[in-house]
Amino acid sequence: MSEKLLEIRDLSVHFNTFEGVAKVLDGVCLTLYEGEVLGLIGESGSGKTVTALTVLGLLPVSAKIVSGSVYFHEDNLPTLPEYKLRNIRGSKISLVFQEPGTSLNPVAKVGGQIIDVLKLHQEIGDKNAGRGKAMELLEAVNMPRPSLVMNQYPHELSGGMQQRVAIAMAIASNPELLIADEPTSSVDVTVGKRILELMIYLKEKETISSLLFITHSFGIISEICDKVAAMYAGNIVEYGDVDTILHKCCHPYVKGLMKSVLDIHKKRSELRPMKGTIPRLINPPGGCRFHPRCPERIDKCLLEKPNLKLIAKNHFMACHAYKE
Amino acid sequence: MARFSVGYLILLFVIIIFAPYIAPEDPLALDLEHTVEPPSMEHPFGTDGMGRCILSRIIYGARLTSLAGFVAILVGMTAGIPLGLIAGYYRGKIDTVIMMGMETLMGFPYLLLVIVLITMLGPSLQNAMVAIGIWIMPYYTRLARASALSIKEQEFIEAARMSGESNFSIIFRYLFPNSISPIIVWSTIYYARAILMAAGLGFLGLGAQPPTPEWGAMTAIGREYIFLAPHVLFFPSVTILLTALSFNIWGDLLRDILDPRLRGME
Repeated sequence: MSEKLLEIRDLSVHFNTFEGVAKVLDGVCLTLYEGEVLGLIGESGSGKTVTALTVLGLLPVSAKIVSGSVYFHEDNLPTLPEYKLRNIRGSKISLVFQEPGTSLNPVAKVGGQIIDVLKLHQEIGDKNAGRGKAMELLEAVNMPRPSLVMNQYPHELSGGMQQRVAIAMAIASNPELLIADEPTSSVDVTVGKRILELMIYLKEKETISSLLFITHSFGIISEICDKVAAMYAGNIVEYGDVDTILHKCCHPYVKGLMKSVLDIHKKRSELRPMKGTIPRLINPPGGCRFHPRCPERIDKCLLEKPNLKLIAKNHFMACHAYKE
Repeated sequence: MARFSVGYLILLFVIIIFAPYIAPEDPLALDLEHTVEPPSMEHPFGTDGMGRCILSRIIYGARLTSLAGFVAILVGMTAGIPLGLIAGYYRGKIDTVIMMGMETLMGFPYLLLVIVLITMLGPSLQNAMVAIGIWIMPYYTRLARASALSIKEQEFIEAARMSGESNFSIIFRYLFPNSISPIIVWSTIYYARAILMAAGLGFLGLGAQPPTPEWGAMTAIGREYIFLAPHVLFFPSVTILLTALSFNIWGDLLRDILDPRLRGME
């Protein structure tokens, strides 16, 4: 088995808000092995992005890490001083944001921005060498007419092209781990597909070694991921190989998510959304946080929080109602 | 109005550059036989109490007065903008301390503040420029802080932090260029106020010292002749008025051009 690259243990993050303390992450455990693509799926507000930001140490000031650790190789990231974190960000771990248009500096040319990122983490020779490397990166992300794009400003590019630039910047220093935070959800479906194909292509070419892919879509999960973790209200509820999760998922939440995907092969498939919404995290339900919406709830769910248990090979789940 | 003001400013600019070639006489040359003469063909704006050509003095004064405004704005900018960006970016205690200091400065009546500063530094045009700069600084700090507050929440700042940029480089390479457009507009308007202020200080004898041809100081001298020869007072004051007005109108124009929401409207 390959080595653990990222290991999140029992991570709890609270946000101070005007209404009280929001318990956004509540004991998240997650492991990513080298060379693996891990999908993180869940509804909006389930804490996926917060998990990614915690890894990079970019939480807003109102957030506090209450317990837990985030090990990247041998380093526990939250305890590292800022200057050491800066060396990791962008060079060893980098992030592709959801909104490509807003994640680029609007007043700087694309080429300059890529060269800036290159300069931060590696020695590049003179100006021409930097431009050459930036061009290579743009070519690596299949950017049409890279030499022209180098001299354009972000607003002159389309959403898909902006996302390609953002990916080029993220892979500029060959990171060991790339976190993609819903990179396809702000562009339309056809462009999203091309971005996804690009990610798969980069993975095959081994430009990207390990990937944490945050998404809402099981379709994307099935295309690119090796493993899947499902998140609900700040907890990982099920974790396993992609085939296991897609075909043999057992957690009532994940089952519900699967049901709410339309089956295009059936003639009249019915859309069955899950009832209810994510609970308010200031006063989350006791016991299992999913119990108010859960169709399989038993009495124990109201009282005790279920822990992740190994139920089959490489398949973990947190539910009291599960019977073997 | 806009055309007039831009035309006036271009004229002023040409005058500033080519002052020695345009001015008919030496602005400091005394001619005691022809004192307080009304406008004539020889002296279009008349002569002052020492017989000096008022037109030539206004032309040379354009250099000094514009320079005074420019230096004051520059002092205010270089001190105020970084402080504001730092306050807005870091928030917390740094923000509180910086903004408290700035608000204390703003709490003083502006003339009192500038007079106190000049009393400390000694009356001269250079010190007047610095004092005006210090008076303007807190406004730049506020403006820069407000811009920083909204810009730092945008995702490209987070993306910059993500890629490992240092705080220093985020402030000066990301926040600063993105906050520059309101600052430019605001500078043109405060440039006019700085000129007025420099002239006012000259008038009070705290700025340029006689016989330096500076508009405010000239107005102060003209006051003595207000009944005898009003033109001595009239021409420098009107020049100050027109210059300040033109810069204000130009500032408005610039805002309309730079603000994308107002673009394309008549």
